[in-house]
Formats: sequence, structure tokens, C-alpha cells
Amino acid sequence: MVIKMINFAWTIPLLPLLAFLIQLTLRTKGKKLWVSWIGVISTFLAFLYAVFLLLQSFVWNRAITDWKVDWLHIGSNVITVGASFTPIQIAMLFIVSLVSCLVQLYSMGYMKDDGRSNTFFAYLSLFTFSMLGLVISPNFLELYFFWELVGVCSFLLVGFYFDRESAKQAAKKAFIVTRIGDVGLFIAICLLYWQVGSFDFAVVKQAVDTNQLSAGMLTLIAILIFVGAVGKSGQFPLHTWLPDAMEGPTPVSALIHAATMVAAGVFLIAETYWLFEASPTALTVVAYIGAFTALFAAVIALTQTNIKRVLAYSTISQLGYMMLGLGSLGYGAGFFHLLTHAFFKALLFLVAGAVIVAFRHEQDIRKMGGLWKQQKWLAVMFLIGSLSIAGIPPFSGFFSKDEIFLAVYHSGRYTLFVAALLAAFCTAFYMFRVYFLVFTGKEPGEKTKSLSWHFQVPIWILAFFSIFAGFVQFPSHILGEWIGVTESSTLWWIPVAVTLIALLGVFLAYAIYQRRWVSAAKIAKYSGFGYRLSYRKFYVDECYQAVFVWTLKGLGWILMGWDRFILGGVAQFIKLLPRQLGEIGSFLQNGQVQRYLLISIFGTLILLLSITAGRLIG
Amino acid sequence: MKQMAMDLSPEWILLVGIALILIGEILLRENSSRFILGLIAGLTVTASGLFVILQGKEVISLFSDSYVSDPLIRSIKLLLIVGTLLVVILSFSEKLAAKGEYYLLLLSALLGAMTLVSAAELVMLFVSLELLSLSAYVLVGMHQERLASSEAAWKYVVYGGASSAFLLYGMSFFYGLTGTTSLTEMSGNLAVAFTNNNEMLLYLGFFLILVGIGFKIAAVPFHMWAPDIYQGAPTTITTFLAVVSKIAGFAFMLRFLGSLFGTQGIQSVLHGVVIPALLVLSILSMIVGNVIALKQFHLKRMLAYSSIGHAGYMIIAIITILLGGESVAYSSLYYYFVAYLLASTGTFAILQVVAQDKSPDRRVLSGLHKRSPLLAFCLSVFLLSLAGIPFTAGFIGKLTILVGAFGNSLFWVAGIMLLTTVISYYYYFRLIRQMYWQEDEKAEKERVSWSAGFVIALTLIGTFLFGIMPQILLQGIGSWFM
Repeated sequence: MVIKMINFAWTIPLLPLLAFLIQLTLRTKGKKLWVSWIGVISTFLAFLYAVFLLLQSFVWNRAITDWKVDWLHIGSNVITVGASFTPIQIAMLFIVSLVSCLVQLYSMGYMKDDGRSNTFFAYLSLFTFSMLGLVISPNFLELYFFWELVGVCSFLLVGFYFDRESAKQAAKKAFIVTRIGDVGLFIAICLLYWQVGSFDFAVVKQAVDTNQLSAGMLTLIAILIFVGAVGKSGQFPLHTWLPDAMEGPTPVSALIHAATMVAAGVFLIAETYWLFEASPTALTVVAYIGAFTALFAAVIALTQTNIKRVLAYSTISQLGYMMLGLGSLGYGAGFFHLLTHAFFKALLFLVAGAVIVAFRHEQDIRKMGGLWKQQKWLAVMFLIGSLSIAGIPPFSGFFSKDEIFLAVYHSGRYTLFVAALLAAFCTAFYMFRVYFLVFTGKEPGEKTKSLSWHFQVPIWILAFFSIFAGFVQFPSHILGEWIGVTESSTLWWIPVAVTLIALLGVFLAYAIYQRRWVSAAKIAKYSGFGYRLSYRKFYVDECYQAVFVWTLKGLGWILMGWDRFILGGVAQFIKLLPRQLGEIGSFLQNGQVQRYLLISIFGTLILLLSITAGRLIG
Repeated sequence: MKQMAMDLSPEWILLVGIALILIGEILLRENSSRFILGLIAGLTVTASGLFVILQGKEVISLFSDSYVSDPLIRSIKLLLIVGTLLVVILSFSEKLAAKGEYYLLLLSALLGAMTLVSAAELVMLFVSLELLSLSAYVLVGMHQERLASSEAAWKYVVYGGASSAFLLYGMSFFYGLTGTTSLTEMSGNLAVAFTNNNEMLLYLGFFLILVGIGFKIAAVPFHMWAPDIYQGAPTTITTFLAVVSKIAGFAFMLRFLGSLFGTQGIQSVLHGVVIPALLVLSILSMIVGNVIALKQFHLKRMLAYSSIGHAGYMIIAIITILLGGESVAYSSLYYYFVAYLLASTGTFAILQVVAQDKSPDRRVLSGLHKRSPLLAFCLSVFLLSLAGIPFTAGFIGKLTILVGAFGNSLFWVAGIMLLTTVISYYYYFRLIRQMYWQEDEKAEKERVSWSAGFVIALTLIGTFLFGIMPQILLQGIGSWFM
């Protein structure tokens, strides 16, 4: 029995696919409750299977049988499809199926009153199928297929409320911006095929190991793969779609735009890490982009007022951390952070969704407050998530962040180390800013809505993982050993520094938003006097926080401006350019057949002259 | 004699069909249904297809090498037959088909296309091409009461006539240079002619012929007729032009260029002139077709431009065949033909259903998702296949062409192909958005006739089947015809 189940591990994605097909047929007629349970149960079965595989591989060290069939012959090359099960793939299977199952359960409460909830659950099943397919892909082409498919699901789900113009725009943006990255990935795949003649990870790895590819080509391919990851994982400069994608329903934000799909970029790099290891330049690019994104997004998150947008920027920032870890040769660290982040960010999003429901679909944190008194458990859960993301021990985020810092320190890029520290400070600050604004302070006038068990169970489970997931790497590195990473020596002061800087951020948020020693309004008032900036540094106690917040806020605005005007402008230009060309084209096409012929004749003449002239003269 | 009858069977069966339809038209009363004629046409085409299959791997050469038929040619013929068959089935629900000459002309156009593919001699080539073109001219103008249709037919005649003149003029140069009209003999003599300092005449001849070919496949800068004619012609005929006529044009191009410039002595011309000219044509077609399509609101015009873009992709496949001459490259072109045939036919079939007699503006698709979810789904699949999204046949088609391009180090062209593909997403997705996200005042369900439904179902299955299991088709091409 056990042996059989190991051999058929490739059937995991088929469970949600089956659910999708059933849900699709029941879309108009099916009872809402039934349709949603079909999704939850199928994903739960997939989860059980994933747990089984995890136990087999993790605990008993058994190899899971790969699966492979011929799919296409191009010339003498055979392209296969199949599934492979390396430790990180199994870990991803576990994360994806778990979070997906919990989010679907949660959605049963969240989408209860939505008329199109059947469609919603069908999309979620399709997404789960695609994501599971993506993580077990043994070759580039299959991975690319599923890569596109998760993109399509994301597009459908972001645009789920398509009667809202903003949702439509966001869906479009998400699709188009990520496609820019996808094209990069596709070119990389074509180049690899051209160089190696295969799409298989194993074959390509062998070719890389035996130096079949030139160094320049390796770097080019690695960077193009990274471009794909940049698009999917919302790294600078292609991050702009991710905050807008928050137009989708909150469970979708938790599942797709926090825990799983956006982490696919990081997963891709982890999966093809041998390629990056062979190219130091590519690794450097990954590290710098990652560090910059981590800080950049964290700074923007400081000034946001929409709870989901804060979380979105925070996701971008955390993904930046993972990239930084990977780029600093911290393969295990980056992947470990992916794992813990999936739990605590999904938790935060689900709590945020519950908060939004409790406040009757209000998303502005300035209009919230005092939820602690009415829904204490929510506050505790959010606190767990916040402590974890801020990196306070013993929550899971602390351990994974610590490993990233260690890797960055060992790589010797101290600028990046400082940037990451700053980002960690911002992270703690903005998370606790949200926490204090939402849960403390004045109680809301009307009573907030109470929440059904569908909301509670997933949140409890995720909270459990957010607290304890860190212990897979502490005190002994069981995760690292399993995925085959050799640990570098620990430095005692790094965890201390990380904790302290996080506590500082928490304290600052506490001082401003809870104690109100310095009011946010006052900061705004002072910010007009830029020259006082240097002056204030002398009044360390009272003014330090204010000045710090002001500069960060100012920087936040500049970065937002960059985002909106420069990047937006470029995007507009790119959009308009083909249109202008189109205008010229249709001008020529005026319906007169004489002109058509004239154009053909001139075209031929130009062709003839330009191509043959050189030959005739020379 | 008996052997010859067997060898020519696909063609003479069509002739018999044409005769039967003529007789039927005389016998039938003025206002009785012409369905029986359609049935005869459909059966004839099917029978012709069966005979093509029966001929198997035989290599046939008749009339002192002016008619050639080998497995490769037969595979193209089969495509032409399938395309025409789908058009015939679609026509069952078309009002125009109430005229008997409709089916007759469709069959004669197919006959022209089939002999064009088999022709290995200039006169034969020209006559076949004219048979195809003349039939198509009349078909485009079949909507006599509609001004747009007559205008389109007129333009098509003028433009087509001019292109034929160019083609004929170009052929005369080749004849003058080599003293023969047979393509096989010509390829041998051409190298001699080339060494005799007749370079300029050779180039002139080639470019003149390129005009004729470019017209048939609607490649830039010989594409200007396509949008007007696609728009004005009845939708079934647009399908025929976009699919059958285009594929026949490509087969002509491949045969002509392949047999003339394939020999050793002429390699420098191939690399120095023919390939660069084709590259320019391909790049222009991809860019112009896809970019102008962005601005089109009329669906058939938009599809016309998109098909111009597709011609650009297919030229890349032709180039890789000319460069490598491998069967791999050929199967990639063939795969693209199939994917394009399925998706285009399906799209036009749905347009015919949705727009009925109206001229289809983009708005006719608004809210299609609400009215007829199944139709909206099918059209989305076809558009995705045209765009080249995974899990559809179009993706495999594009992929194999790209792999070929990379294999021959045509990086720039491959890059432009990728770029224009991304541009094309914009207008394909715009239609999908229109169907799913726009509301519409019209509420009644679309009525799908059984014939249109059959065609849509068939093309949908094909698009998915060849998208998910491409090996079926590739193996088919490989084992059966080569």
C-alpha cells in the first residue's frame, strides 16, 4: 500500500483538478455549500497525501518515485512530462496544499453572501491544481505551463469583482506586468533548449556541472530566469502589480498574493539554484535586487493606510528578503523564510480579512480602532503574526530572518546587511503601527460583526504554524539537512541585533500610535520645516523618533512618486507607442485599391534595391 | 491509363463533384433548398480526402514531371481538404448557399489549390493559381445585394489581377534564364544561368514572383487587400481565404523556393537574397499585422490583421526549412498550419453565429458569457490558441517555430516574434474581456445551428487535443506521410 502510494505521488494535482471540473459543471445549478465543500475536501485529501510524502521523505528518508512519459518529439529530442519529488518540492507541496485548504475553508465564511461563490471556488481549485503542478514539475517547459496557468488564475481571481472598474484594471495590470517577466523566463528556456537540447532540470544541471555552457551564456540565462521570478514575486521594478492585486477578495490575497504564487519566483530560483551557483554575477544581481526591494517596499509600507496594502508591500519586502538570502548563497535560508513567511503572512491576511469583515468592509486603518475589547482572539492572532514577521523570538519569522542575516553577513556584502537591518526595523514599525491603530484606541461606535467558525479554525491552525514552524531549524537544523544544505557557523550577535532592532521598531510604533507621545499630526506639521532636520538631532529623546519617521515618510513619498510617475509614465508610453503606430497604419489603409497597389510596388522596389544593391555593386 | 486515373483520383473526384452540382442546379427548382448540393459538395470533398489518404507513401509524377505528388504534398492537400470541408459544413446554415454556384465555386477553388500544391511546372502553377483566385473572386462577391461584398470582390479582382501580372512577369524571367518551365529542370539550369552574369534578371524575377506569393499569403507589404476583403466577404468565404487559400499560398511558396534555390550552385543567392527578403517580409508582417490589429474594432478586420501577423510567424518556419531542409522544420510548419486552421475556423464559425448578418463590431461579443457561456468559452479557447497560450495547439506551434529559429541562430527574428506575440495578447484578451466583463442589453441566447455547432466542437477538440498531446499529430505526420 505504502509503496503504491509512493509510486503514484504524481496524482496529487489531479485531486483539485477533478474538483475544478465538478465545480465547473455545478457552477450555475449547484448548491453553494456543496460546491465549496468539494473544493475543501479535495484539497484536504491532497494535503494528506502531501503529509504522507513528507513523512516518507523527511522521517524515513525514502525516495519518492519520479514519474515521466514521452510527450513530444522535436527532431531527435524527446520532451517529457512528469513529476519529481525533491525535498523542496515536497515541502512546497505541503505548504501549498495546507494553505490552500485553510483558505478555502475560510472562504466558506468570507464568500458566504456572494452570488458567484461557486465560480470563486472553482477558480480556487484550478489555482490549487496549477500551483501543485508547478511545484512538482521536473522540467522547464512543464513548469512554464503551470507558471502561466497560475498567472491566469491570479488574473481571474483579482478581477473577480469585475463590476468594479478598479478590479478590472488591477487584473489587467497583474497579468500584463507579470507577463513581462514571463517573456524573460520563456527566452531563458528557449536559450537553454538551444544550448542543451533538453528541458529537464536533471539534464540541464548535468550540462551546467560539466561546463557545457559558456560563462556569459550561463549568466544571461540565469538573469533571464531571475527576470521571470522578479515578475512573479513582485520584485523591484516589476512589483507594481502586487499592491493593486489586493482588489481581489481577501482569501485570494492570502493564498495567491502572499503564501503561494508570489513565492513561486523564489521557488524557481531555489529549484534552479545550481544555475545561479555557477554564475556569481547572477547571484549578485539577485542579492542586490532582493535587498533593495526589501528596504524599498518596507519604507513604502510605512505610509500606507489601507490594511491590505500595508500587507502587500510587506509581502514584497519579505520576498525581497528571500531573494537576498538566495543571492547571498543562503539557499537554505531563503527557502526557510519562504516556508515561515507562507504561514505568518497567510495568517496576517486572514486576520486582516476577518478585521475587514468585522468593520463591515472598511479597509482604512485610520478609521479602525479598539477591536481588542470586542474580538480579543483576533487581536492575539494578529499579534502572533506581527511578532513573527517582525522577527521576535521565538516566533518562526525570527529564525528564518536570522539565517538570512547570517548568510548576508557571510557573503561579505555589508551594505546589504545594513539595508536588511533597516528593512527589519521598518517591518517591525509598520506592522505594529497597524496593530495599534486597529486593535487599541477608541472602540468603534457600533458593535463589530462576530465571525463564524470558518474564520476561526484556519486562523488558529496558521497561528500554530507561525509560532512553531521556526523550530524545524532550531535547535538542530533538520530542514537544512533534509534539503541538503551545509550550515555555516552562527554568530551570537546577529540574532541579538535583529531582535533589538525589531524591538526598537515595535517600541517606536507603540510610542507614536499607542502612547501618542508624539502625534502623527504633529509629525506632519513639523515636516514642512526641512531645515530643522539637522537641528533636531540634538534633542535625542523627544525628537529622534519624529525626525526618523519624517525622513522615512518623505522617502516613502518619493518612492511612491517614482512608482506612480516614472514607472507609470514608462508604462503609459509603452502602451501608447503601438497605438500611435497603429494610427499611421490605418491612415495608409484608406480603402483605395490604387494606393494599396502602389504600396506593394514601392515595397517591392525598396526590398529589391535594398537587398540586391550591395551584391550588384560589390 | 488506369494507374493515372488512380494517381489523379483526388482531383478528378472533385471534378465529378463539380459536374454533379452543375447538373443538380439545373434540375432543382428555383426556390427549392440547395441543401442536397451542399451534401454532394461535402461528400465529394470527403471522398477526395479519402483518396489522398489511400495514396499513402507513393511518389507520383505525371505529365513529364509537371504534376508531382509525394507524402509531403499529400499532407498539405489533406489540410486543404479538411479546411474546405469545414467551410462547406459551415455553409449549410449560410443563406448564400441557397445558390448552387456557391458550392461549385468552392469546389473549383479547392481543385485549384490542390493542383497548385502538386504543380511542378510554371504553366501548371499559374493555371492552378488562377483557378483558385478566380473562384475566390466570385465567392467574395456572392452577397450581391450588399455593397461591401461587391466592393470587396472588385478590389480583390484588381489587386489579385495586378499580382498575377507581376507573378507571370517574374516567371517569364525565369523561363528566359533557363529555357524551361519545369521546376526540376529549372533548378539545374539556374545555377548555370547565375554564373553567366545574369544576376540582376534572376533577382528581378524572384522579387516579381515574391509579389504574387506575398499576395496569396497576405504578407506585408502585399497585405493591403486582406482587411477590406476579409471584412466584405461572407464569413464562410473569409474562413476559406484565411485558411485554405493561405495554406495553399504557403505550399506554393515552399515548393517554388525550395526546388529552385535548394541546389548547391545557387546557395549564395539563397543566403544573400532569398532569405533576407523573406526575413524582411516576416518581420514586417509580424510587426504591422499585430500592431495595427490593436486599433481595429471590426472583428473581421482585426482577425485579418492577426492573420497577417500569423503569416509572419509561418514565414519563419519556411525560412528554417530553407536553411536546414530538415523534416523537423517541416513538421513545425505543418503543426502551425493545423493549429492556425483549427483556431481560425473555430473563431470565424463563432463570429458567424454571433453576428448573423450584421457586420461584426467588437460590441457584438459584449456579455456573450451571460448569454451563451459555452460559446464564450469556446471563443476564448480559440483566441488563446491564436495567442499561443499553453495547453492549446497554438502554443506548440509557436514553440516549435521558435525552437527552429533558435536552432538556426535567428535570434532577432525570434525576439521580434516573442515581442509581437506579447503585443497580440493585448487585442486577443480585449475580446475575452469584452465577452466576460462587459454587460450587454441583448439578453436572448445565441442560436447555434447544428452545422456551426459541429464545426465549433470539432475545432475545439482539435485545439485541446493537439495542445495537450501534440505527439499524436507529430507522429501522424512523421509515420504516415514521411
